[in-house]
Amino acid sequence: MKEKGLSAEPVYTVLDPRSYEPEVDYQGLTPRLDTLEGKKVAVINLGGGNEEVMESIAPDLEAAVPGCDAKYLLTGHMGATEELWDFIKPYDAVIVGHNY
Amino acid sequence: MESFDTPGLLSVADKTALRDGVRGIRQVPTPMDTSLTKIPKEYIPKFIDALTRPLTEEEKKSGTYTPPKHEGILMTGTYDEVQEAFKGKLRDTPFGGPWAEMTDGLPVVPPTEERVAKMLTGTSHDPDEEIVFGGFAGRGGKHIATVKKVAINAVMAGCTPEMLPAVLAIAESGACVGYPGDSSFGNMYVASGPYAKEIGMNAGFGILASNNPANKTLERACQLMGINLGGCLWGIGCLERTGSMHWGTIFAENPDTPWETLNVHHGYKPDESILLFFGMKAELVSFQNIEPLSCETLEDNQPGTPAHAIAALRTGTNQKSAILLFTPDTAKYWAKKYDFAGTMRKFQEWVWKNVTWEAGKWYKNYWFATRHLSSFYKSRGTGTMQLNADHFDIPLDTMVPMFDSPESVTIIVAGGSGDAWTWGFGRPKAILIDKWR
Repeated sequence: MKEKGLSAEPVYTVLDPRSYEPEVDYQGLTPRLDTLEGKKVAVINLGGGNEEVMESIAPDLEAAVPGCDAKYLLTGHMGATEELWDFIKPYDAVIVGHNY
Repeated sequence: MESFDTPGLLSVADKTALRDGVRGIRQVPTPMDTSLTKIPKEYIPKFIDALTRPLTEEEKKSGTYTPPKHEGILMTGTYDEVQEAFKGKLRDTPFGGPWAEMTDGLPVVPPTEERVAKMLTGTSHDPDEEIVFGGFAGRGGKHIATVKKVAINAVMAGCTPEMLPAVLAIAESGACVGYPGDSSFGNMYVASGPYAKEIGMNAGFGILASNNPANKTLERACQLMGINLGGCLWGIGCLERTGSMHWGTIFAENPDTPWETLNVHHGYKPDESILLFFGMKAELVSFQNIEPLSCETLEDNQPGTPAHAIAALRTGTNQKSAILLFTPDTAKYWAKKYDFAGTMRKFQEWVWKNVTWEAGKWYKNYWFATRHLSSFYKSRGTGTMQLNADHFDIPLDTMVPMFDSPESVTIIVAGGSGDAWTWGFGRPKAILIDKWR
């Protein structure tokens, strides 16, 4: 609506142009491990350049935490597939990354 | 990765995880240094910490995230106050921005209730009908708008009610929402069918020029919808390194073509109007003027040959689809001289078969080498001449088509009289404008 203010300059009432995002029910983070010793850790590369850097995380974790069993996987895509979930299931912890 | 964009990247990852139902995911930015061959040792304790440090009370919480609804009236004020409100609190970083909140940086037409009501006369659709924006491949997250919200943005852009069906078709395509990563994803639209002329779109000289009201306000509506309806927030959800030259560029096909028009080619009737939407790094280079065959005849003065087009398209590095655009005169000349007359398909097939790379070059392509081989092959499909799992053992000098299929090559006729052609990339999707009338 356009109105005349005291200064005679038009005044506009304008509508909000924005969309909205749906509500999301979220859960808290998964409890942390006390230690990585004796644990299995998956290092997942979702795809991107400089693969060597992400690949080096797994052996470096094992070197830093004796008894830690870390494995690296390059998926080459962004999506969470059944195949990926099946890979992750046996592991106690997961590091997911995209090293560009 | 660590960079000046780190806050933006962390924010995007956080928001993406929240949409998937997990809030406050722990993140470790890693160095953006392409000379590295292994992770620097000081980062390993950070990973260990993220996996073992006990959760805070906040991190343990479950709940419901309720984003604001943005309904109804935004504000009341003078023209200048309206502009400041839409510009909002500018987002700024040391190396990017500032970016306006709800505009493309330009003043907008105040979207009053009266103007929006008038705009809505341009469609028979219910103002409360929902239109969902999903961002690029859904990565921008789901955003819910309505026909009325589209109309609000159309008013802001300066569109007329007659243009609203096209604006709604652009909304259906997802508008310009950008990419939450490094690549610069362009968006381009071509209108085909009688509707383009009805609303005064330009299909002749200066199709990419700046002062055709229909072309420019539709382009602007696309950009505004990307920001306000699609979640394109530069520096937060949209992190393209440079942005694109074609950000909602829109023009009309010139029906003076030696082939069928684009609406017919895509299975519609001649009196049906469509928008061809090009996403995925859509781009067009400037019109080419290559050396003429000779200056003896007007015909031989035409620039370029199909061989030039092939050479140009071969320079693409990550494109599954191509665009060739001709002025009507050049289209008719090439169709006649190079035996491409008839339907568009003949020309498409010729381009598809001849734009090839050596298999060895494909193996070195960034997107081929850095993606998991099986994933790449799956996305390319099997059973075609495209490089796929059947071709693991082919000689490295085997020529393989760059594009998925002949239909990946779009031939557009547009522009004024005289000779010119250009090329680019982009995968088309046809959207019927008429259903939004």
